Amino acid sequence: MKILVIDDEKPTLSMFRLFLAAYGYEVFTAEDGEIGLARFREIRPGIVFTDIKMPGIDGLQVLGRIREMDPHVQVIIITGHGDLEKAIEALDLDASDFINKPVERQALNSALARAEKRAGITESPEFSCNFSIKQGQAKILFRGRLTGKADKKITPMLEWDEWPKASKADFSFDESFSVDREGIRLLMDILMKIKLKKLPVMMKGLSYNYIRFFQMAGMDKLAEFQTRSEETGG
Amino acid sequence: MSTRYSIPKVSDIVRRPRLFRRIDQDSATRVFLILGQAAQGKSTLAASFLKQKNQACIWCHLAHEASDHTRLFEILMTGIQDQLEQTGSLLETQIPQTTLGTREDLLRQAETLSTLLEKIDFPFNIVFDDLESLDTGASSFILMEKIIRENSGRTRFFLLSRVMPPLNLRRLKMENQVLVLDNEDLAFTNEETLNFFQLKLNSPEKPGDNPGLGPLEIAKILKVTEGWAGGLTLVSESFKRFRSLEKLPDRMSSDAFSYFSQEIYQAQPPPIRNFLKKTSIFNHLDTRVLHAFFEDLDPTPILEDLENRNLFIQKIDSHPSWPIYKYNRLFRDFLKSDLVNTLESEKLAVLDRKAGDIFWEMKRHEDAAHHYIRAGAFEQMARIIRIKGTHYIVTGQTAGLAEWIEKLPEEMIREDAWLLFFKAMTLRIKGGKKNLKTFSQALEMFKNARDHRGMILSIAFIIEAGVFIRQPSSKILKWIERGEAILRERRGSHKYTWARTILWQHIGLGYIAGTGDIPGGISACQNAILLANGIKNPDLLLNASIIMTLGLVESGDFKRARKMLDKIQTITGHSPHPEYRALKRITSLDYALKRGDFDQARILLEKSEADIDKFGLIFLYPGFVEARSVFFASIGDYTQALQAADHLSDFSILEGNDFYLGISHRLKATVFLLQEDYVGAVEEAKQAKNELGLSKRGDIHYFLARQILGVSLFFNNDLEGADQELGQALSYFKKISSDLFFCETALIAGLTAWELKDRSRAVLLLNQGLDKAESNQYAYFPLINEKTLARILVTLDLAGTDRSQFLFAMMSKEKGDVLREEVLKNISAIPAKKRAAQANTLRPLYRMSLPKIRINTLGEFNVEINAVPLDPGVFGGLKPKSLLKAIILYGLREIPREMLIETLWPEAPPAAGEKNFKINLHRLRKALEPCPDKVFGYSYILLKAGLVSLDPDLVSLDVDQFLTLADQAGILEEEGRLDRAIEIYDQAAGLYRGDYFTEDPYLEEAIGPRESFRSKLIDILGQKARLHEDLDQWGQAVEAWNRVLKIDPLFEEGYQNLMILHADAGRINKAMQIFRRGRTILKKELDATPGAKTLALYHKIKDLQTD
Repeated sequence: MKILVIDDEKPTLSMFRLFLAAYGYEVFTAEDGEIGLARFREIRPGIVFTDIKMPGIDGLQVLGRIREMDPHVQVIIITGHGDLEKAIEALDLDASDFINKPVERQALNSALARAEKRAGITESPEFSCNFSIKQGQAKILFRGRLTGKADKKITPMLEWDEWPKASKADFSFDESFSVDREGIRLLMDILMKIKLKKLPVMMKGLSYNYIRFFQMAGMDKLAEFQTRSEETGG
Repeated sequence: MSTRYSIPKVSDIVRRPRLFRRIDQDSATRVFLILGQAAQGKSTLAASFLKQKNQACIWCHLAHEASDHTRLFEILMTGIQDQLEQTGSLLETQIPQTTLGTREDLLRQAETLSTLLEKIDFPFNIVFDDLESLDTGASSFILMEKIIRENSGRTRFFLLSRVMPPLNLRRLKMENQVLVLDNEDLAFTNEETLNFFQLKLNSPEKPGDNPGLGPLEIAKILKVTEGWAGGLTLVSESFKRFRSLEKLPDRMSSDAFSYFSQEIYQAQPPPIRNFLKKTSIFNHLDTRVLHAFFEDLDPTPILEDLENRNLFIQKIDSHPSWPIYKYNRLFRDFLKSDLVNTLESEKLAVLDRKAGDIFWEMKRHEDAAHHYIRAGAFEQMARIIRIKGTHYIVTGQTAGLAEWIEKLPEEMIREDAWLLFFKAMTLRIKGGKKNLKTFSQALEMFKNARDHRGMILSIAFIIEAGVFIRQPSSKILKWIERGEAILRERRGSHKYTWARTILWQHIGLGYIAGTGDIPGGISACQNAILLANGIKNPDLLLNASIIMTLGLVESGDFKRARKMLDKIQTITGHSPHPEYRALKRITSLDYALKRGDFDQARILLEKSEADIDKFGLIFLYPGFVEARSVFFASIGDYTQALQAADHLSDFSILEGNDFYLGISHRLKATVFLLQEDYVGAVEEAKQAKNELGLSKRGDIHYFLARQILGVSLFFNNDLEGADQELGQALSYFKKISSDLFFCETALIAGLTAWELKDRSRAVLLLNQGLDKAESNQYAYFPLINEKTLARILVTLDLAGTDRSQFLFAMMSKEKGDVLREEVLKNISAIPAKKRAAQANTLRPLYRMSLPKIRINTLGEFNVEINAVPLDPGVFGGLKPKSLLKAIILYGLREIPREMLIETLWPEAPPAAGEKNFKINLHRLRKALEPCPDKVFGYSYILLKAGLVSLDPDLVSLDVDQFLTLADQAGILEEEGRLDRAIEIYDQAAGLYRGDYFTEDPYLEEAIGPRESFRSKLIDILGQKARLHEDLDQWGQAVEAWNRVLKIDPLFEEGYQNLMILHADAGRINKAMQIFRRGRTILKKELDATPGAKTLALYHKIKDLQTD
């Protein structure tokens, strides 16, 4: 699979090139956004990594322009450590994933695994939120892109009359799940309301980077996270 | 030589001198691009030209499979090997295997081929025939492009194609290194067409028999065929049958080709037609194979007949019993289409299977596989892969193997452990995670089948894949343990040595690059090396040695790494191997940094980076980043040094281990130490010590961290802590004989002991460090700066040990200032009462630290301090300067003050003279030494017992240098080193910027020496001119004599030599002119005539003019 890495720091590019080539990918690099976009047009990679802070065209602009050319390509944003606001901006622009600098191996592996799985999906499913109860556990499955517009699909879940029968809640997220700023607000809202019901919540199926991001956003105070089994081994 | 690479045989061809001339016209042309439609005579032209040249050649008949660069590489390597064997050349043509790199095989291949071609020292030709068979975007074109572009040797390339190949040859075209011959060039001219038909239609029995083709018929044929060689052949065949051109269409096309071919074909008897169409399944028509294939028919006479008629067939091997032929593609396509149209697919498959079986019997596995694939005979294919797979893996020829496996049904591969294994092997490293899964599946199947060889190999490549895709060390360790267990089980067995060697090698890689257990890795590599030596396998030996060297470099043991690299060089010979080269550069880089050779270090850094990047040598990357940080720290670029250290930390985080984090802290500690941020240095060094203490990557890094910590603690005034850390580090470096680290540690430990008042231990340690440094001829300590060197120097001096010569030579940048500061710091720390006594001890060091003064007396008088001219204003009047001049003129040393007073103030009464002397001496001293130290006083001008002297160690004169250089040149001349003598004479003459004390022409004491120096200059220039004459350097000789005459226009020998020089050069008038000029000057200045020798010379030259 072809991967394009865009970063203005030469050593970072070298490091990515070496690691990703050793992983078996065909790696292309670009030292700024302009060159990156030209290379994208030329080679049509399956996955793009782009640094967010770059002189000239920054990572968010790169993301926006790539989305115009190909809405389904996997674009992973590299953000500075703890740069929550930029990460949210990237999510608003439908970034596939994001990793923090300095990049941890697990974060890279997780982003690659998720991107490879999602690379085959050519159409994003519409957001859905299915809920059921089994042996006292409320099971809620999130699919598709969660945005502010999903409000109406969430409300029935909150008004569900089976809640009193549940002693805990499992939130599961499948591969197609993604979220934007308003979606995060909605998710926080749901979690707070369930907390009021004094039910412990376990979030399952999220990628390593999403967990890190949700933790940064403060969701770890409202729910526990379960790492994916295939990601624990690195 | 293999038949595949011979120049095809060409018979009965029309000679085409106009095209030969074009190919031959420029010897600089290296690429011949011959473009033309099918059967346009491209191969015939190239083959006939190369045959005539009788030069070495490999002819590559390319088929679609060669679109893959690895396949083309294999074709070229085999061809070159064959050719070299034939010519008896002994060049190493080993195909380099990947050990530490990723997937940049194309670059490795290009480099291997280019290096090999570079070494071929005889004219060599490579022909790429049928280039149009390759895919347009084929990677082979990139490989071709690279070897063509990088070739600067004697290799010429002939590119034969129906269409313009996608090769970028722009630069070579601009350099006129490419000749293009296109369809039009190849088209037959009128004359060539006539020759063609004469050759074709004239009966050998009746030479000269007119076939009845006159100029009009020839013109008609030419119009219809447009000079197309294939068309001419078809017309000639048709004409032979019908003796008429009536059937000639208006224009020749591929349809016409089929039509005519049909005619020729239909004219053959049925058994021959059957033979011809069936042979279309073969790429090459090997008569030995065809004999077995057509049991009741002899193929040779049929093919010979076609060849004799030049009917779209070439003989590519002229073996006396079993020649080999190749059809022209158009003709083969024609036959093939007839075969397909007349035979059902099942029967076609039977033919291919039969061909496959024949090749299999002949052990020609590649050809057998080709036919089995077409026949869909998968079982037979699988049998070939199982038998030959390992051979292809060992020889690195995986492209063909990959192609075969790809043709097999997926299900078949899934259920066969060896097919699975070989499939993964064709995707080695580039298969990434998927390969890990495939190897693991194969391993389980091998285990169930109790196939030990398969198990050994699978585990080996699981470890390799795991290391490359950065699996956690716990996982890698489990596979290593499984590998070690199976090797233990087989201890004492002599079976599967190749597989066991591979497993030991990969266990070594797993330990070194996967789990970080370097001793474990080195031990595993040693086992692999032992086994590889046993089976005499240089490839395995090389790879295991490379991995072991990586381990030594990782552990910081550069000394052993260098030894290992020397051994590797004996294995590799001249064959290029990026891993070897990169490791060699990293060790050389370490060596250059330790020597302080930063220019060399910078070059090595750039080259290492390029190789690591180009060949994806990920395991060498951290070592390179570390060296980069050390380099920048050493040259004082601390920002870049810290950036590199930070980057290593990023790498460590991405890699997922803390080892490089420890190295990163150590590097930062070094930078802070050099920046004199001792608190920061201690902090980082402590972290480095903690991280590296937990690592298994060898003790060197750990003790280097302790060394840095010790040094940082010393400068941070934690003497007890420093003493402890340095003591431990010192013992370790002594144990491993690491001299440089020992020296640095001993010196700082010595200073620590001195501060702890343990003076005898201090002196012992300092001397131990310096002794070792002197014996190793170290010129630079990476950790010890000038200031600390000065501190060591002064400390030893105070202890009564003089090491000033060695230490002062080690100091380079502003060493005097640094040393002076240190001396003064020590003096000021001594109680006032004892100060004078200590000052005497330290005075030699103080004098050593002062800037040197140079006084120029030839030409304008001036004084330079540390090569910077002194502003004349600092003398505060004329008298101090005159005093200095007088000291110089009276001989510089021990001049009675009275003599100076008498010279400068002859009229003054004694008291006034004395007073003037004192005032002006003070001014002069102040001018030369504005801020003298209170304890040491003035140093340049000494006044002792009424005698004035200039300090000879601190003050020098240009005239002394002038005379010394003149003497030196004379000695060189005696030794016969004339060029060097001229250089030194030039330097001496360059010092003579004017006459001695030129501003004071009437200064009595200067008059004598002035004449003497001027005369010396004339001697120097005259001698220089004579040397130029001896060396036949006419222009320089004339110039030197002219300069002599400019200084002394009455120097008659100058005129004589100039006259001879000009006369010898045939410039008689000029020689006469010089004589007349000399005569005029002598008359005018001395009222004299030229001497007898000059006159005799004049007449002799004049006679020449008359003659």
